[in-house]
Amino acid sequence: MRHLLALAALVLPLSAMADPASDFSLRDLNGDTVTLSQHAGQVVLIDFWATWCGPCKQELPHLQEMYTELGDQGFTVLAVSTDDARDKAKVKPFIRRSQFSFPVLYDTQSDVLTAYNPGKTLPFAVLVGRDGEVASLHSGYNPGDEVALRAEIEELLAHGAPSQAAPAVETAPTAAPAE
Amino acid sequence: MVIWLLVASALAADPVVGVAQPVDEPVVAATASPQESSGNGVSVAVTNDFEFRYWVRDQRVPSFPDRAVFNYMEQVNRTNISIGKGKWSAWAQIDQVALFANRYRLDGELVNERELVGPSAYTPLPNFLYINPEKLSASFDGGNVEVTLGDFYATFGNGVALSVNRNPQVDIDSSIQGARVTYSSDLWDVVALVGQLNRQQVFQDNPNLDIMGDRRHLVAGVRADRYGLGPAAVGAHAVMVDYVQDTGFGPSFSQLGGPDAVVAGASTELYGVGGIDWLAEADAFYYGAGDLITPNGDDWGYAAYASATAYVGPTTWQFEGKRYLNTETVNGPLGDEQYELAIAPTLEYDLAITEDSSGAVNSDDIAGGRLRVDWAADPGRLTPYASLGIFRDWDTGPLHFNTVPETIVHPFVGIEWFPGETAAIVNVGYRSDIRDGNDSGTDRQLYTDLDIKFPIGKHLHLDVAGQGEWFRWGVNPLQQEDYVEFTSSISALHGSDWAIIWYTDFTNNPLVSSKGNISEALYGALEVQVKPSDALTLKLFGGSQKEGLRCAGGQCRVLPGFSGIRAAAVGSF
Repeated sequence: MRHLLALAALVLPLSAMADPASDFSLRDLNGDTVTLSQHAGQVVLIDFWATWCGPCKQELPHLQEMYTELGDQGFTVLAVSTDDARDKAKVKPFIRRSQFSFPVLYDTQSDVLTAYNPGKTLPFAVLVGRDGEVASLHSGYNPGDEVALRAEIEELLAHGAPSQAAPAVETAPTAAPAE
Repeated sequence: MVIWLLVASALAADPVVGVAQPVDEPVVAATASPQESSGNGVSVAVTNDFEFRYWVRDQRVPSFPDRAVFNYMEQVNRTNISIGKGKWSAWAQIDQVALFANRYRLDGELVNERELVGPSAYTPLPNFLYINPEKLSASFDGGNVEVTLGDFYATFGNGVALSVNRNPQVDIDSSIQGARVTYSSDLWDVVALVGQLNRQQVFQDNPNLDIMGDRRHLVAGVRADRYGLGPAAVGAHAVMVDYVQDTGFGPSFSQLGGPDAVVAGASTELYGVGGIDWLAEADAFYYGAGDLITPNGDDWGYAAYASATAYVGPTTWQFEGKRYLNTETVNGPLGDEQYELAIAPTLEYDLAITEDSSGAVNSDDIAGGRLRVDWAADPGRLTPYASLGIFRDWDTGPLHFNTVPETIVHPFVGIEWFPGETAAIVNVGYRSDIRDGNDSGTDRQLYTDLDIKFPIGKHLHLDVAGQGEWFRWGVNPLQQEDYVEFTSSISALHGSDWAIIWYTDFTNNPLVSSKGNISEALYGALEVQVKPSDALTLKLFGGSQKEGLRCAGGQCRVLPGFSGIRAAAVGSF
């Protein structure tokens, strides 16, 4: 029990601090490399989803709207597919026929999923501010959630132009997103 | 986290001993909270998932029919901790489970009705409490090269040769514990790994009883992917497995011999060649262990899978084909551990898989294909679709209900419609497993699943969801009875703030061992969910739900029925 209490004492002070978003590098639907750090200075929504997840499919059109309408202001979506490898063939047709244009990434080794979303809920989204800090986490989706999410994104976008930001994520070799 | 520690403390200090009594209001304390933090460049993420269940059993001691002494309480907790600093990162997952009221005093004698830990698992703790550092991992990211020591997940290609991953939908979370080195550049991804398979010991959704020790099978593999070859990417891989019979760390080394199974294969992906997206993979299997050699004497197998997707105007045409021979054999030694090492594309519809069709999912001798057409009537908003799968299953092994080969014909249609605040997903299908000859008949399954959500007031929605099936057996040695079953839920949702959900299940399937609380076949339950913030969702459930086979990600598991009360908190900060 003393060990448990010691663990609590260790964790609690840390939990009061802020958090930089961990960088990652994944392949997109065309095999190109996409990293979080190449979007430094932007407001980024990392959205974990799957083709079998109904609420995820309901939310994605709203994310596309935000991506289209707020992209010029420095907002982007990185949609990380959590589909199993055996379902890889389902991902690209779903994205193409839905005409989603944001980058869609495969996390085949589940490394990013483990780092950001070790729980069970989908969809799960991590909102990263221009400063590279995690602004908020969002689990699940119900109609109307997109309104509050958009307001939060617009507030983050208003916190400075991309060139003024001091990104916290580490830079890494980049490749232009194909989507 | 703190509340969990307090509960654990209380558990350790005051175990329940004596005649078990139902509780009117189980004490529930829960927190599930990913907490992100950093200091001096250090980031820490903590996720805690706490659940408390009061299991109601209709068993009685014959001499005390009025005492529900077989009821018991279970508390499960999972803590994930991720720490990162610069190029270094570490991850730990700690699972804990405790049982209360799992024993009673009869005629002055203490009877331990349910054991939490079986003899094959070691624990220095009292027998009502089990704590396991399930995953431990540390990584160094040197730019193009990353080294991981400890636990990691791994998937090669389309999963035919290696797919060790988390699958929370069916409560499976296996990993490889060892070393992994990856090299990544714009043109290359290379991964090499070696380690022991690490099966999760504490389940999040299933009851934890007689926890068994790990049989730490040895696995090693390498895969290389080359991108940028014009419109193509190609990859090749090899995997070696050495199974062990006994639990613990030692046997993985002391029982090490020649490889029991070797899988080698290659895959390719072509982007828009001839206007079509292509995927293909081929694998060869070799079995060195005597108990893996098939009844036909084969010590080999192969798998071939391909997918072609064409985009014609607003329609998407996708054809997938497969031919698998002795590929499921590689998972055979893991059967009683309830997870799989390799999961090939099944081309099945997960929600429609039954005890019968799961035989085809795990078939060792099957070929077939599936054509699916989607029409993006309003892209992203309205998509009707239709699918037709035809398979030939020659496997009549012990997991199958068919004693002769069969032809499977499986059409289904569906629609996805998301017009603003309304959302609807509906599927209807009909599957026939047509046995050769006239003596075995045809298994028939008519099924539907739906999820319809629509507004009924300001910020208020009604969500009607369910799935049901009508199943009629052909002729088979077990002569199961035909059945009807469904699960359903009606939810009132106030945005994401709160939800009230009523569940109704029905089954007269004799293969289902659970019993309903309304009648033997009918189950009812009520759940209240409250989300006071994005950070936290509280759930309180009371009632019964039926047992059922659940399939996801190519893996199926029978999830037990539940009767009682459970409370949980799921949250994120």
